[in-house]
Amino acid sequence: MWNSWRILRIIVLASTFLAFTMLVLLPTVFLASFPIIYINDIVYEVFENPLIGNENLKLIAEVLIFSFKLSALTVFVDIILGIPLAFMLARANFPGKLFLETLVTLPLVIPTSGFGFASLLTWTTASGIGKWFGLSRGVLSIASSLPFIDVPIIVFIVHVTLTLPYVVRTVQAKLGEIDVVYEDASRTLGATSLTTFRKILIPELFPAIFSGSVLAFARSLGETGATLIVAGVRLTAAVAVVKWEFEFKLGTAAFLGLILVAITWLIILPVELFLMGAKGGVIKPPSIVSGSAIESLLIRLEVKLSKRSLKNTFYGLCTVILLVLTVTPIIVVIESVFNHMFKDPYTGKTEGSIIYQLFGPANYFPVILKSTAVSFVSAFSSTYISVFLSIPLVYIIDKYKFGKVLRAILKIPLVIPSSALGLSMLLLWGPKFLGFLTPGIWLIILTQIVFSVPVIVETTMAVYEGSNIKLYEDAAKTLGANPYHVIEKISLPILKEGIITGAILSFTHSLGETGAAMIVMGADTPISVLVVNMVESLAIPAALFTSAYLILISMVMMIVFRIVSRRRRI
Amino acid sequence: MGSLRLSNISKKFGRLLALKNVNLEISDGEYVVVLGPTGAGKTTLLRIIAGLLKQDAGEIYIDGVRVDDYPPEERNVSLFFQNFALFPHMTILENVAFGLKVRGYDSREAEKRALEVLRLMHLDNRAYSYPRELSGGMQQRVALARTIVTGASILLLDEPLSQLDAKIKAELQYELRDFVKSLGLTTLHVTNDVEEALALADRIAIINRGEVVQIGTPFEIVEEPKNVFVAGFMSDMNLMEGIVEEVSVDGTIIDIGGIRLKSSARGPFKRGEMVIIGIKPKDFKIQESDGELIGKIEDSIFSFKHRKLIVCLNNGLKVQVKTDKSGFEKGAHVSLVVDPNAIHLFSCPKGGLRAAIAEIMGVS
Amino acid sequence: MPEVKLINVNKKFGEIHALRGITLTVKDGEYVCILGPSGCGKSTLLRIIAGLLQPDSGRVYIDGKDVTYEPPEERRVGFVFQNIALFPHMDSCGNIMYGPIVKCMDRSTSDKVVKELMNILNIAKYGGLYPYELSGGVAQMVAIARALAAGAKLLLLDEPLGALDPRIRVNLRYELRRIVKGLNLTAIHVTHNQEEALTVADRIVVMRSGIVEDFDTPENLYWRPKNLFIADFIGKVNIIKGVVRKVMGEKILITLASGKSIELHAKGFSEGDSVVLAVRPENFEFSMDSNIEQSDSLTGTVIRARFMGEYYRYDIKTETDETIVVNYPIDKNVKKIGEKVRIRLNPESVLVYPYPEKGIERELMVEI
Repeated sequence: MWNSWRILRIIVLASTFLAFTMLVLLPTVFLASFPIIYINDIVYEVFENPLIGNENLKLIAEVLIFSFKLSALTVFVDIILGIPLAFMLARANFPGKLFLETLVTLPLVIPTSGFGFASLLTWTTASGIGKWFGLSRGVLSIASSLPFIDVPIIVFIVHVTLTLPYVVRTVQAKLGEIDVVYEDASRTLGATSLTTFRKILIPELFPAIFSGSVLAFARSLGETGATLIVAGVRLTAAVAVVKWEFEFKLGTAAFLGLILVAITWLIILPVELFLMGAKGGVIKPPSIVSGSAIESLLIRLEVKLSKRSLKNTFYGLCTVILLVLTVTPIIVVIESVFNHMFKDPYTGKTEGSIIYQLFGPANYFPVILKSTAVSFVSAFSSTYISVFLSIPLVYIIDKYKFGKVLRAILKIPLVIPSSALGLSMLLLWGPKFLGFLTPGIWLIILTQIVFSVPVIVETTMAVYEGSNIKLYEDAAKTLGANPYHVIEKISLPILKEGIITGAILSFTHSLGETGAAMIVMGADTPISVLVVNMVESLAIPAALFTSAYLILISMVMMIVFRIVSRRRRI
Repeated sequence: MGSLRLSNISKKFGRLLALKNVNLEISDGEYVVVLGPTGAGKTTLLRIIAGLLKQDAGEIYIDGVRVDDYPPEERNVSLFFQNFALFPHMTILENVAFGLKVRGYDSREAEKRALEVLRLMHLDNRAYSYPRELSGGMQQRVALARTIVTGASILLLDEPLSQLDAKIKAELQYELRDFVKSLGLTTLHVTNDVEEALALADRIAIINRGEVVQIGTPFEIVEEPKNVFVAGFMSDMNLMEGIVEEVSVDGTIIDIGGIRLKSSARGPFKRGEMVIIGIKPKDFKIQESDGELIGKIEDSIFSFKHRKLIVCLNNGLKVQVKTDKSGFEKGAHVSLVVDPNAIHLFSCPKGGLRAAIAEIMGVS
Repeated sequence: MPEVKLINVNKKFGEIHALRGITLTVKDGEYVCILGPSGCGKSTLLRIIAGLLQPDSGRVYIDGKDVTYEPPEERRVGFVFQNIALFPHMDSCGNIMYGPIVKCMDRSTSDKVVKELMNILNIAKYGGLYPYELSGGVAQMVAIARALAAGAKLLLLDEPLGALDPRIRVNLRYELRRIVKGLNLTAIHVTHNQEEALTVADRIVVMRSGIVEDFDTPENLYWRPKNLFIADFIGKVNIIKGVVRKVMGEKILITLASGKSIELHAKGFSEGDSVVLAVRPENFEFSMDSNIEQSDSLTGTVIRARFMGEYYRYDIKTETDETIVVNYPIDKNVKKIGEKVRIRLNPESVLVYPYPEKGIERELMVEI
């Protein structure tokens, strides 16, 4: 009996590894192969182009610098907004807390293209909130930039909205792990909340803040779907990859894509590994010498700032900002759909209405239906397969020493630039290498698996680590349960919640993913890309409708997510 | 059916020696308590016996059969976990019936037997509740029920009473022993609580830093400790350093700081050797005058059953003296005598007496 | 030396009424224990005094000042936690100096104070060690030093010995009292361990399900408990049922179920009243003469005999099917299981109470 379990275990392990390598690991690195194989083409196109010299290289540098500026600024703001939000969610109890939690998770699953379009509408056009203030145009113009730093405001706020959850959730999770007793002790010793935060919490939170920031940075760097729509003429690196691919500047696109992927690997992997290994507060941020005169001044300042009214105002402000950034575009889109439903509200003509675009000569409706089918089928299939791959991965991560490395590697597909990923998938599976697949729904499914598996693994690991599952498995074994019983009756039921929430998150994310889909979809257009196409062909009413439709689906999924995870929160 | 034999069990965690040559034999139906400070290796020992951990060296025999290669589910032992480990997603009834169901019992039969055991624990009316709805004491009984109902003849209990309030524990410990005995189970129970061990055990094995230091009945362990650690851990014995002055057929004469005492104990001690003498507070008798030991009362510790005096002897040593008499004032002089039979002798431990006491107190 | 006054403090957690109308005063320099079973509200009460929780209604005064809604950082109290809670990323000195630093106190004065404290607590040599390097007892001493370093005169302790080995607990009790008295502090110490409270406190608050059952000295609570619950909670009592047969001035004659009678000093009873006698296990004698029918002794059989180190515990089943627990000093006449014995009560040590209306079991329940 002992032996047959061993054999089974080995089979499961081997197949998991194979699947993991093929489906998750390779895609994230394969892009590296292209420049290596086609090094001559790249040198030709990028470095020593007979027509334009190394103009392409300069272009690459330009977009990279712009992207870095944008992402760094985004992360800075993420930290300022994110930490108070994480505190509210981890420590406080107030009416509407559940709503806030949902709001924080929403940007992770909202369809990026749809959200990009909604944000564009809201902030830069007359149909947006400009209307409420009596303006005949948008509150912002698409080109208005932040002072001093040459970054367009609209792109900036969209990036902040989309990356904020990474910081909030990472910090919130860590805060949840830190026993409140240390804060209690600090307060009884006379320290105000700000002083407690600085002296007691930051040393413990620093790794989480750092990790969340790195994730947010990488996510911003790789953000494609929404940026495509709001960035206008200014190209970020991720958008440039898509654009150049479509312009047949394949070498330049691939080279840039490779740089992006390399950056992602280089910043995420070492940081995650280091943080995972450095338990026990080895990481200490530079500290002001305790007890010095500088510290006394700082403490007096902290006392003044820790007044309850000030604290509450600050928390309220952060919440309001989050609300405005996330909810307003959604409301605006839905409102616009109603306005545009039967006639164009500006001209009064029916030709500009949604119904006309959908059922009239342009006949978008069947296209929308087909895209819906593509999206749902692919999202469902990829989620289903990902669940089966994720469960053994969770066990491998826990049981083996190298599991830590595995876990760090799995963070990468979460934030990898989706366009680069798409390109990588194309190269890996397409005619140039494995030759199995051409762009189409199968490739879409495989691409979605790449980022679905990490999501499910993370949510399941969170449940695994938070629930003492090892203890129950041990208890079951001593009561006479064989390994099969243990998994069937103990492990899976307890992990179920993590698996289901992970599945919902990845399903919704797959529905809304744009960047990679654009590259691998071939003739099977998912709804997320359809929105982009509609915007580009200026079929605005149709784009409106489709965005709203997509956004609504993700919101419904979020509510389902809430209901499922609420049941266990006793 | 239900004998357990451990032969030279050793286990290392990295450089830390968790268990060293543990030998223990438990006969069918015996209740043995492994008693020792936190970190002594007790939980590790239980996990090894249960099969959740593999030992580095040594063998385990259950009912005469060597079980080292058997997985936990085949060893016929039941492990009770310190924090109960009740499956949170199952009802009480499902929890208790679990062991039977996975051993192939029919679902209904398993639940019937589970209900019987719950009835014994007065918890049959909570059969359909979930663990989180029950108090600590109730959860403990459910966990016990679950461990017992499997029909395994050997029960391994890991600090089963440590989660309970002092008052509940004081009563439950006796009930636990009676219950387990009535079912004819063999029990190995680990704890760091001396009172618990005395209340429950047929025999006690004292463990310190992974080694079994003494095994015996409660009476033997308390009245005839074999070394300084056991003496200090099990009672409030006064321990002092002394030099052997004379060894004879009827005892040993020791010099402690200028005072000569005669002990009827004879150990492998030679003249001039340093030994530790132990005298229990209750073995000091207060005399009118002319005792061997003269000292001054420094303090008294009030307790409801008797009075404990801290006496500073002429040679500077401090001893605790227990007495029923009253009327002793701080600063008063007292005269003490001790019966030679009540003077225990121990070899001087490595590192000296101070280090040994720090170890007993857990401050090293 | 601050005085602590609580007036009508109430606190609810959802449906659970954690504290009901708590009113009490802890005097300057007193060492008070709050004793009660788990869930009785004692920790909640301590946290309200510290300011970590706010009451739903009622007032808290420390040293005459109304601090009910003041945050903990503005009250000058030292708090010691059950799980010690030393800041893991600072060494012992760092932990202890935290209070003075955070309150911007003069460095040279606080250095002196801390050094003195560490000497009194015998932890001077552990200054440079980190919490994970310290044993439980030492760590808790460091936590106490930390709580007192900024000059707090009121020390609040929440089950301070709960996380420690039983052996260390017993020794550390005396240390706690020595430190508090030596430094002239007022202390409020929460525990569920009766022995701990009896040894350490000047006065004890006995709590059950959110209300104060009594607030008195250990001696009074032990020798003259106000009601049956306290008698049983403070230390074990045997409960023997009886009926009052005759009232003779200051004394009453009680007939027990077995037919035996006993004469006791008691007031406030009438003929025919149902009563319960409460006798502690230490207050029995074994009768040697089995021939003489002593009217105030009970006969029974030993059903359990355990050697408990300092004494023997015998469980004896009487002829009327009641079980009596007797703790007997170790002597030559050890009783065995199955032996028939005769036990005598010492009338001086017997407590008598009216028979509880709701029945004995309900009266003794730790959760109302």
